Amino acid sequence: MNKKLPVNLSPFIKTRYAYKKLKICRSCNHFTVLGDKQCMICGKKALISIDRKAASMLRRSMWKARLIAMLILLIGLVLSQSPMLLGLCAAGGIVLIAVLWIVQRKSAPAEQLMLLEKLFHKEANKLAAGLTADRDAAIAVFQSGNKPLTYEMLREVGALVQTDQLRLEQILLLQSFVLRKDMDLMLKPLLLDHFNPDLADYIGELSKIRRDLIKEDAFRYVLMYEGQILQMEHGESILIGVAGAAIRMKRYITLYPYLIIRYAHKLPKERFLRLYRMVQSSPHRNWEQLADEVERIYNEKYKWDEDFQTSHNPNN
Amino acid sequence: MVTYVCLGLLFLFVVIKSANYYSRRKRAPSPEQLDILVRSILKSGQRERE
Repeated sequence: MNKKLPVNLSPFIKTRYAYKKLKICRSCNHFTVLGDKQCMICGKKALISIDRKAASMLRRSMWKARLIAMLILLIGLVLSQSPMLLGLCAAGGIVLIAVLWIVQRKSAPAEQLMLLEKLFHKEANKLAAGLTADRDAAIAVFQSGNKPLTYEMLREVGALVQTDQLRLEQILLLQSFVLRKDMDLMLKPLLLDHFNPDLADYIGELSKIRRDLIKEDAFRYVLMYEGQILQMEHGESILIGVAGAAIRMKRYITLYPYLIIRYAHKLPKERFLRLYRMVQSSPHRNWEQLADEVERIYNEKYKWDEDFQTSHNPNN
Repeated sequence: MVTYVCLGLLFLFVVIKSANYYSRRKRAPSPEQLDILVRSILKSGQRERE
């Protein structure tokens, strides 16, 4: 039997857009999602965020236009034949350069996105090679025996590269750790489009410690592969856990009533009590079959339980 | 005369640049589109590798 490792995982820093995780080396243009400053290819401390790179490209291109405008103005000033012309040229030139400056400032956010798009197209091969190098670096760390760091590296790569292989590697690593509630865990990015017992196990563990991570995609996954999960050694307890997680929100009860009906009789008392209270407090909802099943289980197991007495409404 | 030419040139330069900036503003991708672009580049890169 594999012994699970107690580990401390550093929190995953989410960015609003995944591409913002990218860093680029100012020296060799190597793309990476790993490392803070030092480039793993050229070894120089020249890594900068992709936004900073785009901002510096933008500054350069805007200054180029301003310098051309200033040069034209300077030629006009040098070659002006009278003080009146000099004044006219200076005033007109300053106004025009100011207009250019204002237009540039207003266009800066859009320009920055355009430059990024251009950069990604131009350096597509380097981008793909960079992320491949990141994954290879993670595998090298795994071979050196540092599993938590490997997971953290794969998690960073996985924010952008979404392949089943990468997901599986992360799931397997997570399954080798002792998972705790305070860990920065995730589920949605790891869901596969085929059945995998390790993923099912992971969902089962999450249903005990982080029910909030089990959302619609996970419910759909579990429902789709319910038969295979039931054939697993602890398959039923996984499904009971997931059914218990569905009781977290009324929306999930409405969406997946049959999942709950099938496993309601095996729910832990605390989860069943929650289900019971939710069903009791929502008589207007269309939960007839579920309400009947809940009432049946209540009568069978909890009729004389004190915790249930405060919530029982015989008219419902 | 040269001063007028320079001023005219500068005016034209600013007008053309501004028009350019305005048209690019409309064509600029959204951050969501950039995300999709990066993912598709990485996906095709992975496929080539496999």
